[in-house]
Amino acid sequence: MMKRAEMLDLDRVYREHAPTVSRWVRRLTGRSDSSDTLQEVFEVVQRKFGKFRGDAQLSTWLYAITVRVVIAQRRKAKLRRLLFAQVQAQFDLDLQPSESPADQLMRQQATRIVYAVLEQLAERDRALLISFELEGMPIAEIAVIFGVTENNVAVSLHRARERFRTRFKQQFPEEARGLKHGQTQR
Amino acid sequence: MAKPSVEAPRRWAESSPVGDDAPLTELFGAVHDPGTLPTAELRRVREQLRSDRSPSRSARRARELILAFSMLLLGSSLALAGWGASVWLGGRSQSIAQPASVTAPRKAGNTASAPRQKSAPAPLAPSSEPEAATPEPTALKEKALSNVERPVLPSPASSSALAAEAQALERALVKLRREHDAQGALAILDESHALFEKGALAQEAQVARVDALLALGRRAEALALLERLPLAHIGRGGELQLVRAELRAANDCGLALGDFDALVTRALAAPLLERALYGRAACELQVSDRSQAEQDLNRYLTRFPQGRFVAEVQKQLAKLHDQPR
Repeated sequence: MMKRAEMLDLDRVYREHAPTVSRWVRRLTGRSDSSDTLQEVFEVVQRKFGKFRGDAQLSTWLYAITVRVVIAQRRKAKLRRLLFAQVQAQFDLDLQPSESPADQLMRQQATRIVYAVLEQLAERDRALLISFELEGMPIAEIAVIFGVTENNVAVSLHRARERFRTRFKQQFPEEARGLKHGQTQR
Repeated sequence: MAKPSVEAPRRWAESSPVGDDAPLTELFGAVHDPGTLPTAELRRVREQLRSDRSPSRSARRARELILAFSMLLLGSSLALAGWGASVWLGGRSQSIAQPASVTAPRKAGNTASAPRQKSAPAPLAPSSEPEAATPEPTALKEKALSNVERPVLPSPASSSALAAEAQALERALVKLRREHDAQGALAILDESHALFEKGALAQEAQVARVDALLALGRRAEALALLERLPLAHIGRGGELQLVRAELRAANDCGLALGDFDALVTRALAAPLLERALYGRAACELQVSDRSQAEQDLNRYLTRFPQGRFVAEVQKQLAKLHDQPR
């Protein structure tokens, strides 16, 4: 049973970090309705909170848990699709209401293309690219998150980027040749 | 943040807008920020975590268990099918010890049809009549599985019952999607519902039931079911909400507009967005919201110039222009 003091601390962690974690979850899943994933992340946080020694920043620790939970969920979802012949989940992130419809459309298409290509990559490559390219995390922090050396991250990143380039050219040849994504809508 | 000691590549979003990676620079520069979950959702998750008895957690664990057992069943059934095929091909593998439930259908089947069984069996296609004595590998597999499952059905809490529930759902989905037999799928879902009304896959079964009812044209029943489902928390939520909106629109456009409004602000897949936009415009016409309807009809034409409702949209716009304001 969890101690009351720990519970209170967890409450504070949730209050202060849940919005950021929910943003990461949305980024990593590509879905807006991601409250179940957020809940699972904080269930893991609840279980492991006592073991957090402060070797890394709390935010890095939370991001590492988020990445692991999302990867595990996505693997299970793939298995479920395989077993029950379910349709693959669509990319589904809310638009930013503050932008003009044209900007929204352009961003929506760019985001959809990026996630469509990411979908073709291995889960680790996908998470690595999202962390580096979209979340803008430094190599050193990614190394802590994935539990590897910085050199290892640099090499993995180089390979993941190569694979992304190849898939992008195969899946979206027009966009890869430099046509604006707005121009190629079919 | 630690200072990187390894030289990092330049991020695509920050790279030069000319050169080989220019399209990627443009693409990654345009990816939008996903934003955070709404406060109400964050609060709901917090309450669930505090209660420490989250139903979704137990359901998730049950589902994990089901997945593991389904894989196990799938593996064992494929192995059985392979073994059955090897027997028909004249092998002497009968001497190897096998479970009693497997030997029975082998005897019933005999080896008369062995020559036509040289091709590999379809691993997932279930026989519509599992009791048939034909020694098809799939029939063998089904008989073997049904023998395995029968004793465990009464207790949904046991892992075997969960596996049986998953198998029943799989059979219903195969009937519906591969054999296009919605009536057959409903029959399986009815059987499954009687046994696993509160099973861990009850929600997935309800969604399959909606699909089957729609395939049979039983729209009122499909709508009644959709009204009871928590669409925000299940897979295909957007698509199902759109179906609900379209079904609601037939009787109550005011109610349907709530769904359509929610849908068009989401980044739906283009075919769904097209239907949502058209549906909303149609409903706005219905409730005499002329200016909004006109706006949505024009938005439709801009977004989907080759869309499937273009002719109808143009007709409605022309009508609006002819009417006095």
